[in-house]
Amino acid sequence: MYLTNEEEKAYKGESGLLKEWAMKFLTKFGDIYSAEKLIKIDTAFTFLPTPQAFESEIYEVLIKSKLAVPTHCHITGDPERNLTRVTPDRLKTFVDMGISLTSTCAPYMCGYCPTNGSHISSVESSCLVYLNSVFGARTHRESFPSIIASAVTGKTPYFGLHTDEGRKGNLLVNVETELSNPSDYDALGYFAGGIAGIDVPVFKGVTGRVGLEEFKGLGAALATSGGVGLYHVVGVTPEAPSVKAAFQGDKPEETVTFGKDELEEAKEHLSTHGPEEVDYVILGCPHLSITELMQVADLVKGKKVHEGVSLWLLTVPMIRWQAEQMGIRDTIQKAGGNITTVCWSGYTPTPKVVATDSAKEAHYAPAHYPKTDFWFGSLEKCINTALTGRWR
Amino acid sequence: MYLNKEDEKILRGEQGLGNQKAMEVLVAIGDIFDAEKLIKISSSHLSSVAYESSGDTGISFLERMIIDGAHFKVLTTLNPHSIEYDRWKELAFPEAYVKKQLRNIEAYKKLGAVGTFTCTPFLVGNCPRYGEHVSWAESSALSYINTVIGARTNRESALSALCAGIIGKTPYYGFHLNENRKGTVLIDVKTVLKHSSDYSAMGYNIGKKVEGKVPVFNNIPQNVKGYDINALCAALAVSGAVPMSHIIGITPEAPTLEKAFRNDNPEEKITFDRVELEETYEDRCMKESGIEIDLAVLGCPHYWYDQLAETARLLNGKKIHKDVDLWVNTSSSIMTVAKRTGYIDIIEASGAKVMCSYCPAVARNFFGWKTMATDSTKQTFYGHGVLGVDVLFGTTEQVINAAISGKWGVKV
Amino acid sequence: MTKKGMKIVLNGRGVVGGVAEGNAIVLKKSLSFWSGLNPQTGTLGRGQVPPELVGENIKGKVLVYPFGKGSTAGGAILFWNCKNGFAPAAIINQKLDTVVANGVIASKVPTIIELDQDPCQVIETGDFVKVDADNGTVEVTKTE
Repeated sequence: MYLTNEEEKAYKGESGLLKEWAMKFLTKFGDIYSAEKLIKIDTAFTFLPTPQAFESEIYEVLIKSKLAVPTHCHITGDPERNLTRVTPDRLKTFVDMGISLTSTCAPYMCGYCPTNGSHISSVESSCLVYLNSVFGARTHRESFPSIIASAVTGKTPYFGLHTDEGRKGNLLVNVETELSNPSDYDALGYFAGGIAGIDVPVFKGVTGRVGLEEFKGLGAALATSGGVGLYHVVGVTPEAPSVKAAFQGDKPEETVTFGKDELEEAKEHLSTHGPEEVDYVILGCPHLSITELMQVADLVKGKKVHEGVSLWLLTVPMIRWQAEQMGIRDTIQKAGGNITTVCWSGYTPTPKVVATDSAKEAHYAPAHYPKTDFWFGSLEKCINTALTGRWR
Repeated sequence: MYLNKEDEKILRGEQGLGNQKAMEVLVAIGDIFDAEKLIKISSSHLSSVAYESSGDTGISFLERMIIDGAHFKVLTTLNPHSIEYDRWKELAFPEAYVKKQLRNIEAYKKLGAVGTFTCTPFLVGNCPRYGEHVSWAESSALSYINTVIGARTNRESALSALCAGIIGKTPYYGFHLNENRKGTVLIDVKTVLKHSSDYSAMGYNIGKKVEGKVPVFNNIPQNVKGYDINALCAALAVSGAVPMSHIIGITPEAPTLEKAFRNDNPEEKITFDRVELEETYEDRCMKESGIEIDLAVLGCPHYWYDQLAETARLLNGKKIHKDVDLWVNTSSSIMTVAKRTGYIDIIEASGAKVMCSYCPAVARNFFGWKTMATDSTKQTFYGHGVLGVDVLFGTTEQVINAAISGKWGVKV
Repeated sequence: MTKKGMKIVLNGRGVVGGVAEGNAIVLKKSLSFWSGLNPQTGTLGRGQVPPELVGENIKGKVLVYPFGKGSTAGGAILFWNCKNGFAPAAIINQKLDTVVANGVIASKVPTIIELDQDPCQVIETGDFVKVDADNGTVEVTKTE
């Protein structure tokens, strides 16, 4: 990979240990994918760096350094409800590095809205797929340490999803069934991700509303059953005005159909079909939008969450604030629901039976809670379950 | 305009008086613009949240709509208003005026709006997608989503956006249609734009020249910041009522000049060079260097995170002049994060105030301000017109320096 | 028909160099390290791998699967797993997800991709595998 004089210097250690480490990492990373050069990134979205993820001598320098680009960060807990493992002192360390405490897996709902065609670096599989697909921004599926190496240098290797050709569709998914709510999009994503793997699926035939909530579920699921970093929805997402445009004039490598049967099958697969008595209802993976919280408030208004059921609603700190201003936080709390800003996994005591509207949660949670049963369904069905205590 | 059965029912009053009134407004607008039909929208964003612009008439109208059973059908967010929501006492806004403002807000909330109180709703959870039909008022925000995201909205008024939010539909005309989104004037940008205020200046200059047309900006770098385009859109809307531009390489509909103009030739070509840039800075300053200022305004449009971070960097450890109010405007939502990140404390330690539901362009001058410095051409326009102050326009850093020294044009 | 002791050589592209050997763990489906690998024990997790491989330790094994998927936390999880002393001997992927690339570069796990035959078909769990990632070769000795 070609390095500029300045990059070369950093590589040789003339700009300090951290930049040397970062440049060496990015060079290896780029060489693997035959990247021709490094390109500048505008911003980054990262997890808070943990000592486990780095060599200790690098970590020590890192937390005393300034990042090269404005950087937003993933969930940091919920200080209001004492659900956090990050002490205020530690948070201060990250802030001093230049990290904004955006504190959500869905920063695109609260101030992080990169422009079409801009180069950025983002982690969080559900977030980066949203930024790539819906905003038309360009990011790799970043991880540790590449995201930190990018944020430290302000650069990333130019290959894959940063290039025009890397954004070409490979798999055509003909959608031949009505998708009636966002959890159906979770099911669609879960189905297609398993086939697409790390390729770029193109959805054709999607009718009806596709907006923030649908994209959120679709992308998160695609990046759960698969490793999808970008998808196109024909006539909906910016790079896919037509099938032809989505495949950049080429033919799809593979074509599959998503019909009524596939929809039902994907939904069935995401439930473990255990007891109907539910003790946890967890919504908000990715974090709930204000529209979704308004829906919940409408459904629980004047009612009570069933005895023995915990209702967790996960959202962005900013959106919780909005919900508070609107009085819907109060409505939900009076009904016995909790609005929190964490990722529930690891914070809840072991549940027996969980109901969720998220394919991502239903997929990952069984590994963390091996004895727990899961039900997957729409937000409305989950809230009804919270009110009655039973999945029906 | 064609109405389907359900639209007809609403128009006949079968879904209550509030819905009927809203439908009447939409039908009247649709007929004026020869709209073929109504189309579904997924959100609306409302201006005239400020008591200064709604007045008592606006409040009565909203309260009547509540009694008549109206309620928003789609996500509806709100513009900033005339006071600072949680701090009006501390900042000495007159109580009688505050009460009116709060009553106006209360009415919007009862109708089911989200109290975002910002002109950047796309940053706080109401972010439409490419091609999505919405109905937005607030000239800077609607121009931003048309231009940068490729969502589709006309330049709605407070009333039309309100009615569209209640019905969940809008008349299908204007910028909802492909053919009207075609670029018509080529703007060749021949100078390097370094500051957000440069984009604000360019927008103001070009807006005056392209009223009623769709400008296509060429030679804007791919890595331009979102907030720079936001500043550009705001200024274009103020001087030229421009609801949409193309920025080559950024606007999804304009990957190339050919696409932006749909293979036609531009009707007109305009060059924007250093000379025009400097002229605009001069034009927007009503006074000479050395004049004392008593108000400095940042955050028009409401500042993004990264702009608050930059403001914090410039103000870190500094004190602003005792005779100057430095008001930095942003949204409450951005504020909650900037507070956790520590930017707000740094900015306020200098004596500046971070305001998060307010906009001086829709407020009243209760504080005797005479001379304002700002980094926004939009704010110079309304500062002079609404607050009645003399205005000075410069970069963010120049404005902060003026706030520190108390005088325009003095380096700190 | 393969026989016990039979040797098969596959050629591919080494992306992280090194020579290593060990018994194979073969997954027919893609893997997310998040929830698929417990970095504190080095074991494979429920819901991510076939039931018979749940709890299997990857330490010293040659891990063979088509490609990585899922959570971007994956790179850090593999790194932490290796830091805790549970490094696999080598990784063989047919395609390389960037999240896996992160993990193998940072943990210096010899890795080969893009083999001339599908490694998930040719290699079976338990086979003895020699990986030469410097030269891009994989030598498989069948155990049954």
